[in-house]
Amino acid sequence: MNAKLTDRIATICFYLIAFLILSVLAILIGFILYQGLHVIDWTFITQPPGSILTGGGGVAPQLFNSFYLLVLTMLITIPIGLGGGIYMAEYAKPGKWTQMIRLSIEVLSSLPSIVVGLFGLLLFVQLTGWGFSLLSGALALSVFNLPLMVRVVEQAISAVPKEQTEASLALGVTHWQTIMKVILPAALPGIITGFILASGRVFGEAAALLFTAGMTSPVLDFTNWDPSSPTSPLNPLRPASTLAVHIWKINSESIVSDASKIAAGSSALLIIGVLIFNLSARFLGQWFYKKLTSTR
Amino acid sequence: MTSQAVFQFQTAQENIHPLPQMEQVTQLEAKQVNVFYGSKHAVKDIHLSLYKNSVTAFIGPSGCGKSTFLRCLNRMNDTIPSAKVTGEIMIDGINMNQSELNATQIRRHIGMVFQKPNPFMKSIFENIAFAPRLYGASKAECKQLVEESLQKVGLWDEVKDRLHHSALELSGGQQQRLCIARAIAMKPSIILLDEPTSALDPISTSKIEQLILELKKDFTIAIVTHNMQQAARISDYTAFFYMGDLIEFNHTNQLFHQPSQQATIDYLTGRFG
Repeated sequence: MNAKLTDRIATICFYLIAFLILSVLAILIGFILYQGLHVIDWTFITQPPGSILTGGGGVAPQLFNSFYLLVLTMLITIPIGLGGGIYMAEYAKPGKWTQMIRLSIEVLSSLPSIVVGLFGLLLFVQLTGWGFSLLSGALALSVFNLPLMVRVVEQAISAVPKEQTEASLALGVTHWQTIMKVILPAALPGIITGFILASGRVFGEAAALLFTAGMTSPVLDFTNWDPSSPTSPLNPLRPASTLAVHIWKINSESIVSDASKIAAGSSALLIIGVLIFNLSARFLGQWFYKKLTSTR
Repeated sequence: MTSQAVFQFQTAQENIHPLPQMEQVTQLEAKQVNVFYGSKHAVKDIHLSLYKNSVTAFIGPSGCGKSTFLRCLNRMNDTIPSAKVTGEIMIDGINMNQSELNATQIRRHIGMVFQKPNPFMKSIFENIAFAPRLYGASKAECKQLVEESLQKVGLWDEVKDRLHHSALELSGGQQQRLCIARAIAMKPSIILLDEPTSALDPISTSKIEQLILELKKDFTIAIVTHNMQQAARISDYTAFFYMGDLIEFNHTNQLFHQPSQQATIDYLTGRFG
């Protein structure tokens, strides 16, 4: 076989693989949207679930919980993840200790989420005495988002050319100022990617939340913004089911008559939510990066 | 051929700038400087002075320790964990090479320009204003510093309408001049240049060489170069390094015209390197 032909065949193969991946994605999203889109209307987005007898209603609390849980999780994950990533990339000296940390991070990121859920049940739900709560859920999610975040931040920082650091240090800028003002802005696109990946896991996670944030949502009063009130949506110590948990629960143990309809609508809503969130995070990140680096 | 080449250096030297009859005021004196990378003895017992408002060129074949030595002068070797620098680097009667002294503060007064232009991924303005601002320069001072520094490196007219564009939009030669502007904005007393033109085209190179001759009015300059003609064109003193040793250090004219060491003669006549 001559080189030209081999090259052509290989090229076609790669195109086919790319096409295959794209079509799987397209079929999946298409199917979910086709099944669920007609269920979604204003009532579905803004109303709580109806009663078992009547069915109907919406998924407003679950939708809110998904995003609120994301915020809580990121409040924990981002500072620690950034700190860990900065430490690993800039301060950790090669050796036994660093290797240990790296190994721990890898083990942590490969833990099955159900195990993290049970661990969260013991530690964040029972030992703390909080019961099923958003905060317990956020802590459990942080447990497996942290390794991802640390790794992505470390890689993003390491990918910033060494010359940038040298230039800054040679000007008499301290190591810390160099990290904050030169390296992190340059590493921002990579960090945003990590943030989006971690967010995706929060939106999609169900197993770890079953035992930590719980499967139910109390009746919420969306006009009550006092975080200490049990009916306030902002209360971090209330139980909360996210959209993903809701889908699982509706499909597996619900007895409402329109269960499949609700599940389909929730799935579609979840996908749309994730898409909008990803796109806007990327867009915001790009905007911020351009502002910091003056590229256009 | 050999004597001709030397003769050319000499005439170039005389045409462009005859050896100045200046008094030698020592700006920096390195005494018994050694550098070890792990077990490798990269720079051996160097004794060398930089004189005020003069250009000193470090020449020698690759791996001879000239860049490593240059990086001792502003403590940049501190950033390499395996490197150990011994000896004294005296500036104004103070040894800069002692761990009690803060390397950050020292680097503030000794500017450095690198082989590959390395502007920050920031705007042209920010590239220059960044470090002075951290040292407390006000907004107005920053603005003035930016203009002043860009004027000095001859970049102002080329970029004054796009100060807030990314520095990465500039050409390689412009980027290198921006890096020089960034260094002089800190108002250092010494500027170290580590092969600043090796990544540039001939026109940009000649612009930078002109600039160096201009800058020595205000600063003391040390330049590492691979290019012997460049050393002959712009330097007042030349130090020839070989295998980590300082073989010969003299007025550039003297060193190129009447080298005293056999190794220098061999290098200058192209027998190695």
